[in-house]
Amino acid sequence: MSEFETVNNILIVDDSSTARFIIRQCFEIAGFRGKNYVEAKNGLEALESLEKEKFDLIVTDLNMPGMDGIGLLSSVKASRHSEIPVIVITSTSNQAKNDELKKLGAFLIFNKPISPAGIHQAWETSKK
Amino acid sequence: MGSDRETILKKAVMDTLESMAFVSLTEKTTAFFSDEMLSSGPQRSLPVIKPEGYGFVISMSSALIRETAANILGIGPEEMTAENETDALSEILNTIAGNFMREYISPDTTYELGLPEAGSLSSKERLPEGSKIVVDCPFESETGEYLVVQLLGKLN
Repeated sequence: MSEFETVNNILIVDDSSTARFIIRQCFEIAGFRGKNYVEAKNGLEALESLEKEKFDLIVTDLNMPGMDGIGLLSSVKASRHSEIPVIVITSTSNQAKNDELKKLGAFLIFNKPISPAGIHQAWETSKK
Repeated sequence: MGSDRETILKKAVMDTLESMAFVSLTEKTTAFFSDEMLSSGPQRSLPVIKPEGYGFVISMSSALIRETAANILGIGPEEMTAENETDALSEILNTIAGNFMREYISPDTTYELGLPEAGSLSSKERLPEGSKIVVDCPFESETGEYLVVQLLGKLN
């Protein structure tokens, strides 16, 4: 079974509808086609979705009004959902920020703008 | 912020528009655009929270933002809504600002961006007094439309 087949429900968290659209398109092209995608506009909405539905993967922005991506990542990793991989897609990523996010439990970190090829390669590499 | 910031900002703008929306841009001089032209079109601004005292402003012609947003979302320009256009312009500015800061700030130091807002940055309200345009990057698209990205802040 391909590693992509183990993921069925994906939660996309970003305050920008444009960014949510781009993220979904890139993930579909990268190998996550035919999955169930649910969208949330910030960390609080995402936590509400997590209580209603089971997710295999969370993809989140960092800079959002309400609860931001750091708050969401910390909340998820301190909860019963801690096993769900959290991918961070942000415009404020550099080595120092990546180190901070990894310590908090981020699974993968991507700079904006993202590309399907970058997602595919990073996902495959992470599973080896 | 040092002397190569103009080169970094120009590259960040061109790379972002090309990769997000397949829009090619040509560099222009500031004399190419009038203040009246810039203030009449859509504008979004984004403050830098850390290091504080800086901010970015993007000004784009209505026709170019419609074309760009349509390319990003994969729909016809006639299907675009004002909300689509505003949101896309904010996301473009957010990505440009992030690309600039990633290249400009030391990788050992984190940086924080604010949330994009409508209109230009007011130096009195959101930036320290005396802040001015530090870098001005005007571009023209293949269809003759304008795009200007400015970095505002304290002058060294």
